[in-house]
Amino acid sequence: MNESVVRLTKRAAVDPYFLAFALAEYAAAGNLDDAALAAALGTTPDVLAHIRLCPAPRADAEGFGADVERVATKFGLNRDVLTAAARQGQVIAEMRAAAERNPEAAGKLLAARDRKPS
Amino acid sequence: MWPSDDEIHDAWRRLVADPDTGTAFVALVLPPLEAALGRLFPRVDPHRVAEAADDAVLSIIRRATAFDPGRSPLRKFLLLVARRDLSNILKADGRHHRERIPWATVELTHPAGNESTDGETFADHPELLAAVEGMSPDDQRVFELMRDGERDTPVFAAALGIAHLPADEQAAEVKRAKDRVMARLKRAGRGQ
Repeated sequence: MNESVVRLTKRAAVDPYFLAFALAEYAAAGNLDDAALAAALGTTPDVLAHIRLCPAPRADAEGFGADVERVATKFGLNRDVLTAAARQGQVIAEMRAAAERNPEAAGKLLAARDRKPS
Repeated sequence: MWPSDDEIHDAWRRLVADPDTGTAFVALVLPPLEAALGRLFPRVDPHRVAEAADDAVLSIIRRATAFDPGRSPLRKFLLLVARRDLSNILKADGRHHRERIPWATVELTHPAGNESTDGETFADHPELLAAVEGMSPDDQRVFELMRDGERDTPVFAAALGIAHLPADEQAAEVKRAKDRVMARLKRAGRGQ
């Protein structure tokens, strides 16, 4: 696959519009590189680039299920892993949006999260 | 090398009909867009050029229906969006590095609509073509931006490699370059 295409699919990982965002969060949480993420999804790194540029599933339950099903079927993916990744991406995107609306509360939350247990 | 406008528009139609075909669209338009932008801004950091090309293509994927194929070729629309993105990136760089007063204007990353640019051809005006071919590479880039309806001084400044200069010096230098190009074209039009 063309180098610039691969670069762009990775840039899409910062944009919650794209499935790349959710996949990046899922991979980071599981410490997965591209090969491991592709393997978890039951595909190859080349196909992973195509999946990254798909739109993220819609937020409503019905739309979410239909969108995950469509992408999983089209690219022959492990539906459970795709569901988990997409859900994780949605939760993180929602948390970030909430943090932008109320930075003070988000700061306290982050501080609490980062505080080491005594 | 750009694919034909028909090929690009077919890929765009597929993208509108099936948003999961983003990669095919990217593979078709991103490499030639990046190359065209690099030719237009040879003195700008290639990483910034790539970033602007990426942003332009991603914005089209996100809002594929914002493009109106009846008004102008998608190739020109993409280049227009990428130029605006590059201008904004360079402005942000300028603010970050120089800590000067920000540029007075901030454009929308995405133009409101693709403006019609059809019908421009040198086929009937060989004297103008000769005049353009006789210009320096800098002036040819300025001409190309003027022909495409560019009005943003920082875009011209980036094409001329003077984006590091203070804004007033950029404006003066860009004006001189535009005047030079116009004078050359007028002379050619009068057959001199």
